[in-house]
Amino acid sequence: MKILLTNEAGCFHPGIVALAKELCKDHRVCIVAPLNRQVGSGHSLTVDQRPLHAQQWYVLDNVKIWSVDGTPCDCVALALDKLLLDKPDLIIAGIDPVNNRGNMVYTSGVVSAAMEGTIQGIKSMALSAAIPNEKKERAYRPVVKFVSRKLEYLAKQIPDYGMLNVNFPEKFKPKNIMPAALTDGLLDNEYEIEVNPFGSTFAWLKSPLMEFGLEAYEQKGDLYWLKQGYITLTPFKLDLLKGEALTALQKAGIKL
Amino acid sequence: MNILIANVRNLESAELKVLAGELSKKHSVTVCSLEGSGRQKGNAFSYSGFPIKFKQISNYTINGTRIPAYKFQGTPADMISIMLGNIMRHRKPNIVICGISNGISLGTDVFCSSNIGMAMQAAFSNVPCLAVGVPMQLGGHKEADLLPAAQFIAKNIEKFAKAKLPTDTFLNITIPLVKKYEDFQGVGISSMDNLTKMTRYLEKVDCKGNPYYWAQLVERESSSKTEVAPTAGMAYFKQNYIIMAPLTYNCTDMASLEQMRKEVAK
Repeated sequence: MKILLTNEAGCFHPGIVALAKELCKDHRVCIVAPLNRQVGSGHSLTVDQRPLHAQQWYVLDNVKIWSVDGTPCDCVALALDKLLLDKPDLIIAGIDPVNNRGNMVYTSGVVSAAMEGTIQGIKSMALSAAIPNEKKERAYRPVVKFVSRKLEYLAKQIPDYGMLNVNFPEKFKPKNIMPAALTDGLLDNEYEIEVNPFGSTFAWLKSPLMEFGLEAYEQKGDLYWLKQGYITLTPFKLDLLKGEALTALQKAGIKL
Repeated sequence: MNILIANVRNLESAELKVLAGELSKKHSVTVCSLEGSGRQKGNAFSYSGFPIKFKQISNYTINGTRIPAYKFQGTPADMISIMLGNIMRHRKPNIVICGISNGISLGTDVFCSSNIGMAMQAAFSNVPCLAVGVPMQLGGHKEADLLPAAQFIAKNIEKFAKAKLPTDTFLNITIPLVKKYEDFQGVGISSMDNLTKMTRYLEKVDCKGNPYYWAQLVERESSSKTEVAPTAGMAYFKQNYIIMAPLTYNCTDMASLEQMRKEVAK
């Protein structure tokens, strides 16, 4: 298989390097990823502010590495349009050392990169894991092993008009796989307002960004199953239209 | 009603002023805007650990009415998060209006659109929310061109706030540009999937011989695997219909999920 790897943590991040080293044994692998950390970049695209630059690096033997000075979605779009000679069969975004679950997936560059791949017509999946020591390559070994063994199974789970979001808990057994829905119930972020000596106002995030309430666990979605130690698979679709809302909207009587 | 209007261009843009002008006639309006361009930012957050700079503008007036106004340096989602999570924490708005956006979000454009990103962020906080867009005009619109669109929103604002939509839903409203209000033909409810843009790049070479790439949005080739069934939305839109699409932030593909569950159970 021809596989394109990307991530949000940078093209030399141990998560992506560990995955590339393992997958290149059986597949043709190319990394196109941001040069700098782009955590939380969501589906940002660099369109009107500046052009993009790409650089090729020769660090790994069998893997071409391209760095792009943009976001993960820029990387996927630029790779498919200009950098790659042939279209890949599969796009894998990750491994992200932080789980991307619940409503916070829209903020994740990894999930959004897979979404961009899907929009461009390539089968895509996002991998994220709870890795306590994210800077060590060997911390990713259990996840990498699972992915390389089960790659065909995972690729088969990608829906026709959508992508697959895969989350790994900190400790897992390879047989504990659970298809799970996205969890709703993101809490509001709290900020503390500060005025600096020059009179400018700043907002500091008080609580960690993107927290869920306790009742979110009761939905038995991806959040719940991850806590139970399961690998969660969540299929995403591209069409966000809410069918159930159509009648409610008609009843609202909105007219000219 | 207590209304928050959020815009990504700037506080002086016609898109913001004309909408705030119409709504402030009857309602209490707060406005917020980013400084500089925030195009195609999606639901991005500033995760860097640095604080986000913002400023309250004390003498912001529209048509002689003083309106609370804030300008931010950050991403669209940062702005909505701070407005709802802090500045307006104790007087939550009855409805958030994102726009009027200079450009419409069709089909899969919704994932990268800044305007939809803001609406989604407001929907996470369970506040009723509209993302309003008109067709793009390079350099921005004139206030007179946007007046009919603003009048439509102002006329129906209470109905929008009271519409009993599911909590994970927000509205994407696409309004055609018309000369006067009477030119609108009607209001339709539909998705607009059939015209979706794709990011392509224009390759150029700088003075040192290095390539660089400018992003451009082109219309999707029809052979794409992810093609979704065309809807009537766009055809009506071209005949000056206003199109409303209820969008959800829960993108779980329930049909595929059920299938996967069955396979795992085996």
